[in-house]
Amino acid sequence: MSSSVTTLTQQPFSVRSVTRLLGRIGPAYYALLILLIVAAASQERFLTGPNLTNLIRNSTVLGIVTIGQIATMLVAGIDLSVGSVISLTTVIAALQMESHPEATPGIVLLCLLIGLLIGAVNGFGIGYLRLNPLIFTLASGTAIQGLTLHLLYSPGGSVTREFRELSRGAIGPFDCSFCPGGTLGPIPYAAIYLLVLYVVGTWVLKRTVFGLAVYAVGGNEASARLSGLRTERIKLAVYILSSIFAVLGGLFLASRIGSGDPLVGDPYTLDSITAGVLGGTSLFGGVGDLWGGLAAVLTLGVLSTMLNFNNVSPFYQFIIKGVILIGALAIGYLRTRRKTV
Amino acid sequence: MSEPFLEMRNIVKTYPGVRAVDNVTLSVGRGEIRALVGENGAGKSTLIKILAGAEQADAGEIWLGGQRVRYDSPVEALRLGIGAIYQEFNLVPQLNVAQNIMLGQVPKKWGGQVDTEAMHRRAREMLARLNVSLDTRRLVADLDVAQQQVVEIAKGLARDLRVFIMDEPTAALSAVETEHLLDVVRALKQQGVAIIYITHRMREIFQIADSVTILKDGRHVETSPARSLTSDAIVAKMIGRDLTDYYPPRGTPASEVLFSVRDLNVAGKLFDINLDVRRGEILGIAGLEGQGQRELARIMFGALPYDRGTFLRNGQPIRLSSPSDAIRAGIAYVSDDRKRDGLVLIRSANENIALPSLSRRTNGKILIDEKTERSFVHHLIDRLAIKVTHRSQKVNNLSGGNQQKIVVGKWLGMEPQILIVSEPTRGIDVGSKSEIHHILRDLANQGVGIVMVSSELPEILGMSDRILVMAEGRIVAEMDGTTATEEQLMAAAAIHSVSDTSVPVTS
Repeated sequence: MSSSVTTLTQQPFSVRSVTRLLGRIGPAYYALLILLIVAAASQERFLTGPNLTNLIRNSTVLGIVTIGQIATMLVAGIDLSVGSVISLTTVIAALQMESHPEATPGIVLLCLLIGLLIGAVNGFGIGYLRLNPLIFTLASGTAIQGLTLHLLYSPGGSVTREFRELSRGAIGPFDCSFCPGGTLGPIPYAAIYLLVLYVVGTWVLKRTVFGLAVYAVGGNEASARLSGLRTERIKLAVYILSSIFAVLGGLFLASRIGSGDPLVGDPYTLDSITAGVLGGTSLFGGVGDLWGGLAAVLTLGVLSTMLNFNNVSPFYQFIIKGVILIGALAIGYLRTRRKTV
Repeated sequence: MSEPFLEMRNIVKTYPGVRAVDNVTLSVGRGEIRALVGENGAGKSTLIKILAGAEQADAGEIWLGGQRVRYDSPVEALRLGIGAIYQEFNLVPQLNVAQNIMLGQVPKKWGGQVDTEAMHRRAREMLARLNVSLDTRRLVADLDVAQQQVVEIAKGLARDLRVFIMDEPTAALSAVETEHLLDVVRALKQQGVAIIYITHRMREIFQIADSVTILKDGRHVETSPARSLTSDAIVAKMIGRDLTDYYPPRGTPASEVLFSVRDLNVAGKLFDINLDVRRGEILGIAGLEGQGQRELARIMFGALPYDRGTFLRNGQPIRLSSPSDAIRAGIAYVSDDRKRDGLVLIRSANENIALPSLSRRTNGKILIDEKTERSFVHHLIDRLAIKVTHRSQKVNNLSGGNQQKIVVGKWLGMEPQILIVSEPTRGIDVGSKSEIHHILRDLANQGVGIVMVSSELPEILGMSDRILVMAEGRIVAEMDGTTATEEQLMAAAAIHSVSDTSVPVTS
């Protein structure tokens, strides 16, 4: 570098930068690691194939919904309607497949179209009309919940046998010389869904121009707009994605429980926000990624498996979930505070 | 000067309670550098926001290359080749340097992928044009103000604009960086770009501008070739009166020491800092941008951690591990980044001023006594001559000069004995600047010890009773404010920064 160049970079390597790097790894990874060790040590049944398969299947709906929720959080928004969209999807899928079993692919498409429509309404209100995402999605979610209960007051309907296979199936076992017993698997479809969606989702967020725009809008909306980004359109797309992922989650859930349930999606709204926050995504936008979210989803899954093993009442589980969200928020606060003071 | 390329005709913009731009007409030719000057609140910012598509005019037309153009968003303005770099940086802190520079025109590969390599290469090219080497992978959040300014400028360069609006591009830059920027502006001129250049620094106007447009109270006052104007004439037309007694007369500081720093060290940043602040004095801390002045100021307010050092208040050691420790010790701090640290932008002038002294005014009661608060705030607003249409006006909508007065005002409410100000007049107009200077001197005369960090030499020389010069994290010289000259200061500040080996310098 010539002497006339003003050098603005000076970042010596130090012990501090290592601790900072460790601090940057989300709390979800640590939580997952600790919980896995505890679970494996305390429950000898924990590390068995059937149990792990079950864990993954139980985490799939939340895993799928969390992708969309993280996207809305990245643009400094939130989607409180995902729970209702999940419930609506199970109800429509179950009712329609019961009366038109031959039209299963068409019904899946119908559900996705409904998701597109709901997401478009959310995205239009939040992106173009600049309405508050919290209130807007709370309202749209409530309306959808009402519609769902109108369609089906109590659990009922049933999905087709083939459709059930989507959540219950597995491939393998495969030959695997390193694995104990010489085989790997069988690998449940659910694990493949999660892996594919998270890989593609991460690719979109981290590698594409759209993904960069999502981070920019969440990081500083005014700046993104002045840089020539169409911020309204980006928000619209994000809310459509969120609803589509909720529908995908709902379809998996319908396949798993085999019927429709107008209230079954309810817990996923808060759980997906918890997973996002625990996974290191900021509620203020612009910061976060999907893998942290997946680690958080699995953490919640392991936790609930452990609690179930030990026969802890579901009511206590609610309390524990609430405490975890607050704890995750507190950790997020401490992590950002260090930077700004 | 060539044919008018850009014309803004009879532009009008009204905000609730203010006519920000009142029938302004402006035309700029290709390859012309037009300085746009005026006090804060004169309508410059609004005018350029309209030109850049960030705001819509209530009336008026914009013509470009002989054709009327209409647009109502920054996207469309950029498509026409009209772009701006703003005084309040429009950067995304969570993204890295390259992403910020290329935001809105990121190079693509198949499948809508970001072409990361091309993005970093192009960002580096832009930085190289500014003669700056900055790692394009660094997060903007980790950059200091000068570095962020460079990124903002590079972002403008990356767009190949036909009309390039620059709002105070040098406000945060050092002398050397400013020279590089001015070279770049001249190069843009050679390429036929029409440039609108907003600055409060008279010297820059005469260095680069072809012509000057002066605005006052939203109206066009005059447009003349820069050669036909003098600095005094411009100032007089901007404020509508002659500016005599630019700096207030100095007082007579006492010898009593209010606050001392002893052997303060921060690894890699500050080395063996010792200083005393005396009753009634203004202690100027001078130096090139980024020599540790800013960190020192923040440490003295308990807002940054340090490795070693002690602080004495009236000779007694005190702890300074948080701003509330400092406030309790009677120390107040006016930040150089008023938007980030100084103001709650979406609250009213009223509430901002009342904030730090709330606990004092409530006398331990839970509810805020609105009547006391109101009279107290009104008193301060009058004293500081803050121009608000009404006292509950959001701070967002005020001009920079008035915002800065509010920041100062909110600390006056707690009656500090030591006031630390960092770049107190950065980016504000001459009128407000002078008012701030008078307020600081009044406070000193009342016995407050003032530490003033500033990279503007005239301000340091005009205001300080005593001057400490910093270079590379050390205090390298102490001077008497009444006798020091610009040359002495420059010489002292430059010693370390020029040489590669750090030779110990005694003051």
